[in-house]
Parts: sequence; C-alpha cells; structure tokens
Amino acid sequence: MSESKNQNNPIERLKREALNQRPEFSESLHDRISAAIRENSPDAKHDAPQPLDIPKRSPALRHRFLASAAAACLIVAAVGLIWWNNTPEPPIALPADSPNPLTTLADAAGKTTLDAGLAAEDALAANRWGHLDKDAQTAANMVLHSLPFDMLAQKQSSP
Amino acid sequence: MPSEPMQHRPDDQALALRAQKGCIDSFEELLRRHQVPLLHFLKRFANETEAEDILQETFIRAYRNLDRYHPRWRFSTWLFTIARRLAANSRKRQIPEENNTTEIESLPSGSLDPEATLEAEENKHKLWDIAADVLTPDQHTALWLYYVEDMPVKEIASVLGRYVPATKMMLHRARQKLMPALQSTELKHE
Repeated sequence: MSESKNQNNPIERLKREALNQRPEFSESLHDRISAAIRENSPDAKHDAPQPLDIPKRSPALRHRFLASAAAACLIVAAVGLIWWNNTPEPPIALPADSPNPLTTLADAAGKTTLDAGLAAEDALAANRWGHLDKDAQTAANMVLHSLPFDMLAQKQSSP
Repeated sequence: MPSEPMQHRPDDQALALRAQKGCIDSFEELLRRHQVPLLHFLKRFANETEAEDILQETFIRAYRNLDRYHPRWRFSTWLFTIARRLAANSRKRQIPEENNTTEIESLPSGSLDPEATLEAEENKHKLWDIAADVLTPDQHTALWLYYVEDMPVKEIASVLGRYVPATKMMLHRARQKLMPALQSTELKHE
C-alpha cells in the first residue's frame, strides 16, 4: 500500500514519466555532431556563456540599477548647481542708522578739516562698503582735498 | 555508450581539460556521454528535429569556447546552460510543434499487465506537458534539472542565471503550482 502510494506521489510520477520518455543514444546523431565540430575551427568568437561564477543579475536588473544611479547623480549635480547659483551674495545693505556718506561729506563743509576727514572715515567704516571701501576712500580723499575746508576752518576758528 | 571501460573512465572535468589542450577525442567522449540527457531536456522545448539542431549547436559552441569552461563546475552544467539559452532563443523565434508520434510509439502494445497498463495510462496524460502549461519556462527547467537530472540547486541557479535563494524559491513555487494539477490527474485515474 505504502509502495503504491509512493509510486502515485506526483514527484515520483514525474520522474517515472521522464525516465520512460528518455531517448536512446543515437550513433548517427553523434557522428553528425562530431563532423560538425571538426568542421568548425575554434576561433575567438565569444558566443558561449560567461565562465560559471556567482550568478549575475539579470541584464534588466543591471540596466535598472545603472539607470537609477545615473538619475541620482544627475539629480545631485542639478541640486548642487542650483544651490551654488542661488546662494545669494551677502547683500551690501546699509545699516539703518548709518549716515548717508554724501550727506556726511556735505556736512563736513561746516566742520574743520580734521573733523571732515574723520567724519568721512567713520562714514565709510560705518557703512561697511566691503570691497568698495578702498575705492570710496580714494574718492572721499579726492573730494576732501578739493573742498575749501581750510577756508571754513579758518572762518570757524576766527572770532 | 561510453567508449572506455568503467574502471579507466576519466571524469568529465578531466576530459574537458584534455579537450581544452586540443584533444578532440576527449570532447567527442563528452558528446557521447551527454547527448541523451541534453536531447531529452531539449525535447521539452522543441520537436525532435529542432532539439537535435539545438543539441548540435550546443556542442559546437561549447567546443569553440572551451577556454571559458572552469573545472570547478560540472561540465554538464555548462552544457545545460548553453542548451537552455539556445532553446529559449529558438522558442522566441517559433512555437515548437506538437510531436504526437513519439507519444504513440512509447505506448506498450497489447499488454495485459496491469502495471504496464497503468503506466501507459499515465503516459497518456503527459505530466511534463501539464507542467509546461502550468509553469513558466524557468520553473519548468528548474524542476526538470532538479528531479530528472539530479542537479544541485546551486548549479541549477547557474544554468538559469539566478541566485541560489531565488532558485530555491522558484522550485518551491513550481511545486506549489504543479501539485494541484498533477493531483487532479491522479483523481481522474481513481
């Protein structure tokens, strides 16, 4: 009973069927293939599978992985580029309470030469005109040298 | 079938290594040994004529690319890998014809033996054809190599180009899919 039950096991039936249908060895087929092999010279064509190794991923999976990696790199590069371009330069914003340098220079007309120079320096320093400091300083010096502060100073100092 | 006495019979790996060095007789011995199992396998995917053509192409490619074979793997595994790929390409090109003549010829004629009669009845139902209908080609191949060729799962994975855990899962699912269909044919007998 157990033997017949074992024989009726689906797996056993599959094995038995395969065994029953196994073809016989064919000498003619062997000769035919042997002749074909001898006719084919072993050239460098690589149309056999890769050397057996760790099973590789399917090509489709490999392509998907490469595509995802490329897309990720592009996104990172794009984000980086956008971030770099949009990083605002520090605004050259005048402090709210800083005096207008032009007004300061005009006011300097009513002060002594020393006061005018100091006022100009203070105005520039207070406004923090970064890279324009030097240029502004040069311009201020030119203005100061051209304005008649000496005359005004003499006027103020005289009784 | 083998041309050498059993006690002096070199294994496939030794023959393959000799063939790599240029000994074509060694390769022909390999051809002799593996003709039947490979043809049997290929007949699952094609009719007899096409299966023989694919078999010939398999051995030609194997011979031309012997330098790619590594002896740590069974030579039969390498042959089955080539054969499976060629069969898959052939299936893509055409649908294999149903060859009913082989089925008829395999049936015993006029036997009164109950066991032979049962066997003949079972052959009629073509369990492996049911498997081919129910399973995917890879599942079918995995099941065949496992149960008919006694191939280890690791080598089946190599033939199919998959990882071992995925191949084990595939075998498990193939059995789950196939068993109900096979058991229903068993019930029809009873």
